[in-house]
Amino acid sequence: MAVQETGKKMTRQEIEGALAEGIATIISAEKKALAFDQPFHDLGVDSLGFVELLVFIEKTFKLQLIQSDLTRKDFETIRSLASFIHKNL
Amino acid sequence: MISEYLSVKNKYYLNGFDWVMGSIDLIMKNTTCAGNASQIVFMLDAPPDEALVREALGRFLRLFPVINGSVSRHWTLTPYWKMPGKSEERPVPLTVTRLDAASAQSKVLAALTDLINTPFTSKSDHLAFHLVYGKNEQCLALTFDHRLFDARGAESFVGLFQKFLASNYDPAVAADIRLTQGFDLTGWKSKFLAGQAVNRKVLALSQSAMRTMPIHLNGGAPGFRYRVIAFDREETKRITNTAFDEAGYLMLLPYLFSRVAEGLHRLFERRGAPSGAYVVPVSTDMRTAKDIREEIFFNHNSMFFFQIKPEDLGDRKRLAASIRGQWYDQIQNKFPQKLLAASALMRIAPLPFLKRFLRLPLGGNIASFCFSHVSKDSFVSADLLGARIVNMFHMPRTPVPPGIGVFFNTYGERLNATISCLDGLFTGDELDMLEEDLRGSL
Repeated sequence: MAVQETGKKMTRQEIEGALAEGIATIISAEKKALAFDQPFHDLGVDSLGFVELLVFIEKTFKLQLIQSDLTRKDFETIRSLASFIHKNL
Repeated sequence: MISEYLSVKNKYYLNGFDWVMGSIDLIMKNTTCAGNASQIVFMLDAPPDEALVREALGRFLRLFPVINGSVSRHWTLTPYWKMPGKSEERPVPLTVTRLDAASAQSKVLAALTDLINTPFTSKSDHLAFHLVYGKNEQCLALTFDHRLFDARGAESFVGLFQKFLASNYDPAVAADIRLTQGFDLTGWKSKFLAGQAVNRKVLALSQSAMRTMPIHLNGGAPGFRYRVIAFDREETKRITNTAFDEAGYLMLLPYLFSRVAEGLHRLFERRGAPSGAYVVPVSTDMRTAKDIREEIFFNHNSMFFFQIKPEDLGDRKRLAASIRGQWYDQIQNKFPQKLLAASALMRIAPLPFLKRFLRLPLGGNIASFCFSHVSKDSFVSADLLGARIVNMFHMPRTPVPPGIGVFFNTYGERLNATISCLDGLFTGDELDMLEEDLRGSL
């Protein structure tokens, strides 16, 4: 999924969409109800939900992030996380 | 009729965790003064009217014949919770404690400690409500049998009671509660494969010696002692921010866990406990919010197992990274789901056998200490019984062994830590030390 079937790298917007889908499943929310600039803790994501999200990211984008610094700057919102993933794909 | 709905065929087939809870209950009854119970406490800003509470509880509890059930076995050997067809007329399980005017906060905690150390009076009693009136504070507490509820379930049950009061005793508030579960006697191959994976994990944990505190019961029936650390909103915010900076964004659980491990390590060192790694079971709820609201009764927690190596204890960043790495691996490998599937196989074992079996794999020990963090509270109301809730916390009786645990919950953006310790395992001074340690390090 990280690379589209055409061999093209996913855009940041496509990554945001995929992340929103994953988060909606994890917190049982409607995807369209998720604001991309809202911090995850305000969306109701807790430690467990966040680890589940990191597992989802590894499965979807083939990126293992659990041992990275998990800084607020890069991981706090769908938008910032999508940028971080986009840079590291 | 609601009460009929809540006792479909008068049977609820127990899952593997329910059965393990039953086994721990038996162990606790054999070794301590009561069974595997816990208590949830709601500190209130005004004294509730005892007569109103008694009447409301009488009406509310009649909706749930399940609360007076008992364990039985189907001919397929599947254990089930046998419920009375309808609620029998029973006295309302409510005690009232009035402390003298000079009572300080510690006396309220002492009264609550007595209540959680009091066993249920009969095999079909699984919960009791308590009103405690102090000089400047008062509370409603619910003591519950862990075979009936897990911590979230108990919170939801009191939440339902609050809704029942607010709706002027409308039984429809319980209409969405699910109380059906099948035998779960299919998919044996996948259960055995799950058992294999669990067995591998247990073997990996038993590679190094487990560090435990020896428990000397000397034929007595000890109770539990408690320390409750309540952090205010500002402190909670600070702790959360520090956790995010130190252990990683949203990594509150690994951060709290690492501080507890450090604090308990100092006590174990002080006591000269035999060396080894700490093995810690951590229970958490992986269900969706909807399932949590609808599945109030019985056990739905997921269990993770962590190993804390002594060499990681001097380096906070490394310790937090180790905890979150282990957590990640277990979620990725679906360990909690496999444990639940594998535990379904254990239901065939009679409880007296299972209580021995549980101690076999790790050289007679089960864990070094217990830890949990109920992050999303199921009880969301700010009021109860016409009063504002000042705080809500839990007082579990920690399984024996290990007999010592630290349990966190968050209510209204406030973090609470409860230290629960078997009498005689650590001295009062040592528990004071641990309390100070946690206050200082968090």
